[in-house]
Amino acid sequence: MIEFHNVSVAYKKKPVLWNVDLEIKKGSLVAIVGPNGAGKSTLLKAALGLVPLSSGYVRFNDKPLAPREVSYVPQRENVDWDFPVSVLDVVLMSRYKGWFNRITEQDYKIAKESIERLEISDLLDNQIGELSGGQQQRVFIARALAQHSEIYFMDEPFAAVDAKTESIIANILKDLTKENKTVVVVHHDLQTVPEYFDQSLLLNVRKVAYGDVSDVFTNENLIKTYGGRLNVLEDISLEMGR
Amino acid sequence: MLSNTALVLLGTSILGLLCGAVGVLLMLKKQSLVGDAVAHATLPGVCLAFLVVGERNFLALLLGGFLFALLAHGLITLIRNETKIKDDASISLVIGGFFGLGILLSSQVKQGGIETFLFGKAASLLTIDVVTILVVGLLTAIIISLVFKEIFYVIFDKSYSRVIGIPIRLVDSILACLITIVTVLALPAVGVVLVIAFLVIPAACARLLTNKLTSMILIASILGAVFALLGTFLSASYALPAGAAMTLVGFTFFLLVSVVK
Repeated sequence: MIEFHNVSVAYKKKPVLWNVDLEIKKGSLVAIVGPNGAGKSTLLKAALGLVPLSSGYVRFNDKPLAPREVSYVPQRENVDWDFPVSVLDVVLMSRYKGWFNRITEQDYKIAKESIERLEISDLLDNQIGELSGGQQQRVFIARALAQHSEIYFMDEPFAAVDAKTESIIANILKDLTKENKTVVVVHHDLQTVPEYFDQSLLLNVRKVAYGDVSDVFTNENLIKTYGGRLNVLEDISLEMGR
Repeated sequence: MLSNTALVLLGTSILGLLCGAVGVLLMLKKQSLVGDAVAHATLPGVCLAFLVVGERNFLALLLGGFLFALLAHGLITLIRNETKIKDDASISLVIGGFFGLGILLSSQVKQGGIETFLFGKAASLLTIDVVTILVVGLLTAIIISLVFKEIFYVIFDKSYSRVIGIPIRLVDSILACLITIVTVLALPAVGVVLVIAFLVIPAACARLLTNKLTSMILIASILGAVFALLGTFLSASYALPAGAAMTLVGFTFFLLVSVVK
């Protein structure tokens, strides 16, 4: 279980997240949705210790986060894709075990299996800049899988990817849930939330609602989250009502 | 004993190897300009060490340069974090301030030798200098190979590195120290003004020639050594400033590679 207690984060005295209380149960498949600047990515980063908290704490199974406990998929823009490394080099990062530890044959095997699962085995030795956006996203997911964690945090894995990549990632999310892993995903496309996810967190600096998608995706909650600015909202709540 | 020429060639080629390898890390970290500021900032440290010790003691000069380089590095970070001044301006400020102080202090150093730190004079390398370069260089190479994975991961993807348990601040500090040590080590041969080119040019050439990090480091090291040897040779044969000769050899090669590639 992941427990957020009273979590607030501020950048230069401006609150980005405010008093978020949240319990994510093991085996959940959660979409975090909300408008730009709602603090979606910050929530993941706060839990991972990548940004300082102004208040509160996050605990994983009643303990602070341990190294390598969470498989993290950062946003694609986070890294320089011109960096002179291959797909395999990037995925092998997940097998890091501390100072002076060497990468073993077993690590190579695990990394290659993950790459295979994301259907990019033919790109193993390619420099990462030679890949399409969707393929780059799959490299990041392969790296997360090869870490063999119980918890997965993914920041916009579906952003600007091709249809094939989208379906591969969607399947992986389902597989991870079947393996009883906990998966938390920042997601921008409201339409696909009911199809891809079981639970959803509606976030706009504060928590608006959290629970099963069918329960929390109400017109009222979505308007509270987005301020009623999106036409798409009504369509979705109608669809959910059917 | 080695002849003076062999000694100088040995010293500069080891420097070339080191600068090539470290230059790759500096360039991939996108810190070339910070590296330039740090190099310029060593001058007052070198002069002060000269004034305090009263003679040209390579280790003391290295130490003085190293301390001022760290000071400059810290100041750039402080200005960036605590004021509204952006990186480019804070780097220019620090170059100006430290280099200005360096020129002022160097005018107070009456004995010969200090001017070699400005533009570099490979021929002035003494046996003890080359031994120092060899020992410090070897230590640097050992440290890089021991923490290579951590350095690569932190430069490439800081957030992910943090999540898999790499102490990114420590790794960043180790890297900053390595870059500073190599920069300071190269000063007497290449000079304050051009040492950054000596670091970046082999790395840039290597980047155009390969897509693999390990090959890039290997190629940059070899190129660094070749540029250093050729530059030293030209410098000795035609009485040219060594730093300028090495840099121009490297820059010409870079232009050729970028046209061909």
